[in-house]
Amino acid sequence: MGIRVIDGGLLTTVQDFGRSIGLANGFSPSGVMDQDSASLANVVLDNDYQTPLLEYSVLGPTITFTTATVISISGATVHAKVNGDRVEMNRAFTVKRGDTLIIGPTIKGRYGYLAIAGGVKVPKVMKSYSTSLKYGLGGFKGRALRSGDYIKITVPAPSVSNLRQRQAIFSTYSDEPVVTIRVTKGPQYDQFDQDAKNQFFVHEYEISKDSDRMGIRLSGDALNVDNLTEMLSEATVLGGIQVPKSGQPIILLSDRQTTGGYPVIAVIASVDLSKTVQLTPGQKIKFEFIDLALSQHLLHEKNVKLKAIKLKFMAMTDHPERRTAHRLNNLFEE
Amino acid sequence: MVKFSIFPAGDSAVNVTFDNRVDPQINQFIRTLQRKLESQKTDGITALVPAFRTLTVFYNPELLSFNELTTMVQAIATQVKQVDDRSKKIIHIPVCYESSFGPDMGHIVEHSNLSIQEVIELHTKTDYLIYMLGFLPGFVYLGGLDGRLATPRLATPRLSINPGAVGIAGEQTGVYPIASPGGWQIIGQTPLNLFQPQNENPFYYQTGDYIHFDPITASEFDQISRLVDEDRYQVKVEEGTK
Repeated sequence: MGIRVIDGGLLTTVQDFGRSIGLANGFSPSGVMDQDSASLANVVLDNDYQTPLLEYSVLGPTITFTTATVISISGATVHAKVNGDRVEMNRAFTVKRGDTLIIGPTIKGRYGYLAIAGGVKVPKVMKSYSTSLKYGLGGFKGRALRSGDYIKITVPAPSVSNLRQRQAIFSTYSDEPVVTIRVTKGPQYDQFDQDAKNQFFVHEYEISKDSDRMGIRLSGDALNVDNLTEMLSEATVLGGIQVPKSGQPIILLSDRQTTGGYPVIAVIASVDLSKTVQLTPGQKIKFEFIDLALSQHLLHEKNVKLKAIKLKFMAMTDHPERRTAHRLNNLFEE
Repeated sequence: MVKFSIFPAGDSAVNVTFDNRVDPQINQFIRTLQRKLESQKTDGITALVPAFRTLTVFYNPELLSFNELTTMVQAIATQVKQVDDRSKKIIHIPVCYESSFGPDMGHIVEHSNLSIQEVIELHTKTDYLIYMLGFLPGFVYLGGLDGRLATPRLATPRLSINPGAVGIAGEQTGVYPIASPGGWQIIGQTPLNLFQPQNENPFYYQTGDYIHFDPITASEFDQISRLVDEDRYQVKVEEGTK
């Protein structure tokens, strides 16, 4: 029992939050690009934040369900329909056996998520369900989904009750004319000269077309890196902003190489990572410096909010045990 | 104690950073620090990635604060007064250097003015220290190449290098665990699968271990290939002293 892919869309892969187990051995981490939206899609269904789901980009997939279950869609704004009925974003939606879900192109943002109650079922590779497109491993056969693929899902679907109330107002996409992204100092920040540091925080950068799951390339006035000493390769981090010889910064993301030899001027604050990956080519951004303590505090606040949403939905679940307990209570009260 | 500084690398990682040079002593200190941190099984440390002069500690700031982490690293580093581990683990990798496996052997011969036999002897006499892994799963950055073999990369990189290809790039030598584009001068090939993602431990080696290349003939290459396919090949691992 599972889902049959009618059309794979442009880049639909199975992802969870990636693998850290291979980092010391050169194995790229993979994992969802927008962790906040993936978490949200999952918690709407009472899944764990990191339950494996489908990530798509630019054009969503069309799939048929061979069993009844509950789904939710989050991340990039899309028009999605089941048998002509509109599927709203960030909301639990029941599908019957034989229903076909059509997810259209991404309208705002870059990465969308389709979560399924209980999660999609693929073999674990190096302790993660994430697809590594680079090495052709993990997820569903190590590749993007295409027409004819059949993927197992959890059956019977875990019961998800109070469907109508299961909706959140949530978006990681920002459409301001210039989007501000907060960063902390990178490990090589102090090695850049004052001009380069000033430039980095004053200038606006444009998201280049040449961006993917490995990284976002930025274009703008080149930063001067001529006087930086050659560095020995070291580990890369999620959201690290490296500056190669060209002076055009690159933001390193889920499918990045595990090590790199370019100086890292700044690192995206974790709280702003989801907002960053949803930026689309042509959008403009500007970096704002925050200190480490604030960055970690903002991350904590975000986690608290997400936890509150998760608890709110979990409280809606009609647990059979709780119902029995409730009935017994009533019995004694009468 | 070897000197180091700690720099934040964003809000969820720190770089323990040593002197800016390639040095076996620094590498060994980094490995020892990594092992001690691993053995503590601290909640909140999510990954440790060693490199030439850094140990990057990934952490979850919700479980472990920056100050707690840096205090812990400093305390452990102080305990590691000197690294007196004289033992070394040597992983033997069979390599066939015959012409069909080493298309660029001619370039090394030309550049070094050595014979093919001399190149093979020099390449297979050394225990190469693994300073770090990166770039590809299982790709090793090795120290110890004989200076006479150092040869610049190909002017035009190949679009695809076979898995198992052994090459030289400048003063580095190494082996490609999986197919990849690259500009290394390819001088031979191993029949081993150096990356086995289906295994509990997908790699034969880690940072701090040594690699020794053993020369084999084309017919030995075929024999070992068969054993590898049948999952019956036992990789030779030797305990040596430095």
